[in-house]
Amino acid sequence: MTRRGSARRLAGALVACAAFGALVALGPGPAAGQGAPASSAEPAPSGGPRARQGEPPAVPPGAPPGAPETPGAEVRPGGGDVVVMPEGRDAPGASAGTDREQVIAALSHNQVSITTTYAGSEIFVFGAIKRSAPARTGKPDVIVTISGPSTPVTVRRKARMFGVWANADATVVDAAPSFYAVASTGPLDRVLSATENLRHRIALDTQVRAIGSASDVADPDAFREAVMRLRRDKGLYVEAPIEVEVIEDTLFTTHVALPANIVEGDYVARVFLVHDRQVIDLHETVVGVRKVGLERWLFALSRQSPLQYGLLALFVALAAGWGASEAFRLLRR
Amino acid sequence: MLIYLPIAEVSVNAFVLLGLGGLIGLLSGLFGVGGGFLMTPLLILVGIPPAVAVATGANQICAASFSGVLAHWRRGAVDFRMGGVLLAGGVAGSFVGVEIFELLTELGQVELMVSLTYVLFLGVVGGLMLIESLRALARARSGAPPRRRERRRGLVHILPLKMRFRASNLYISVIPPLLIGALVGLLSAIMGVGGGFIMVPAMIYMLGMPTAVVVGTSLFQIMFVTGVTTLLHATQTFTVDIALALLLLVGGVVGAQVGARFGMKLRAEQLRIGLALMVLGVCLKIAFDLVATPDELYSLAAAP
Repeated sequence: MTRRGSARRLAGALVACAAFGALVALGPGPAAGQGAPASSAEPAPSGGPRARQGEPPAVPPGAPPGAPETPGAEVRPGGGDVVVMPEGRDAPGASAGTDREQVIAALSHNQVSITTTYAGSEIFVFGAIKRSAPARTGKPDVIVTISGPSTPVTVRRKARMFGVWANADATVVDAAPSFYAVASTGPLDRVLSATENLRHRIALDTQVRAIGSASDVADPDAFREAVMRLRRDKGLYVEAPIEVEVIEDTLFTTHVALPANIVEGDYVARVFLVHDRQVIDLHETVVGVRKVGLERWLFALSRQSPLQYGLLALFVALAAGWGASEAFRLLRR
Repeated sequence: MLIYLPIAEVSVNAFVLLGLGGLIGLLSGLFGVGGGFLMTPLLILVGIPPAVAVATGANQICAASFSGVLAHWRRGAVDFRMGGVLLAGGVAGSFVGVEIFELLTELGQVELMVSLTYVLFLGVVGGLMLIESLRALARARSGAPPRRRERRRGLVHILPLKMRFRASNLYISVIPPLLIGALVGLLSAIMGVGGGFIMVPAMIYMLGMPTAVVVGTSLFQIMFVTGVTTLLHATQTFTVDIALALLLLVGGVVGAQVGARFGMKLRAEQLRIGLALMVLGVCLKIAFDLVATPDELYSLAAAP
């Protein structure tokens, strides 16, 4: 996993560099057809075509038919979720006359290791808008989201019973990401239309979903909001509306801070290119957050062989108790 | 220095944990209580999930009391026979306790149950101890000769299955110590405490044991009960965090040694007043939290 991760990171960085190079060479000026030769100059070891992880991009309405899944797309063996896009798919003839834009993004790291001294980390997301046509009128918007594994959560509410506060009502919020961060070039409701927001589940309140809770409690929304409020207070839900910086309508960069209290799992980073409140393109990458070393070993032991783990805990306790006792006896002499 | 705890899945300052362990250890050595009744609330305060705080607290107390038992044993202040009887009851109690704990976790009432039992036991025990030791102190001040412990024939003498406890200089029935042990085992599993704050007064006032052997014997029993509780939690609730326990007990074992040494220099009445005040203080704090309107009414837990 680690080896693949670092290879991915390298490939991602190279692709991004090559993309920048291509863009600089192109500039916004050249005619629609010039894209193909420039991008074919990309170095081969980078994997040539850009790699997409996760789902293939959602086809925006009005996109050229067949554009994302051109013939020649192949799936890498052993990595079923990696779809390799052939280069030059926007070559003249294939989709002549369209001004399709793509978003190319890379992360500073695709692997976060939770070590014993893990105290949070920061992921830099950077990328570029790749155009095979002159830029559209109006500024492009970019939205970056990172979400942790989503699990159901039991939410309980205290109420006064016989004079003391005790948990009274409870409901299950069906899906709530363990971590969620949104960064964008402006306030979400200005940058994005409501339908697009729902379709791609971009805003935080579309990520925390309660479907079955309506029957348990009278006011399920209060419970859903409590999840968001409590996790926001813990730094697990981050909404930073103007954290993405776009340079020259082409390059963009942002950073997302992962707090120290995150859980393991596959975190999905999504980069949306938005124009006129419509999502034009989406780039998705997986960030693996894993416990490593001692953390990993202890956690695995506690789940797979709990008896040995318990005995180890006892042994450590008794050894420490005896050690301290002996040490003090020696000190007294 | 922040450290990421593998089971609790939170990052906590290691020095805070070391200091916490040291403080609890000091009390443990001084009073013969494990200090769990302070440890569990304090751990929750620094951000450890309550279930992990309870289970890991048991593991830490096990280490601290082992260290304490060794110190007392060298002074011959442990009644192993009495400890064994208390222990037999304690193991049974902790099996039942872990089952109850699991049930309460499902119902989401662990917090309330723990708080209520704390208030009840700490209040009663602390109050009784304070009154008794203040009286004893007043007698000592007035110059009156210390009253000899009344050799009343209580329940402990009437019940069957009598046994001789030489170290405690007692010849009593084993049923009361068995019951006390079981109660302590139950509380150990539910509250993450060793139960010393109940056992110490129970041994003095109900069984009539001499104060000198009470602390060592109590620690002896606590060591085993918390050991069993640790194992049960590790295999059933998966909430024992070794890394957390290790940090707490490094501070704890050192504190326990210092406390045991320091405790020899204090008088028994003073020790008991100190313990009683501390127990009552914690009791009042928890009672206040139960009644006062909380800042946050909602709480989250992993759904089954």
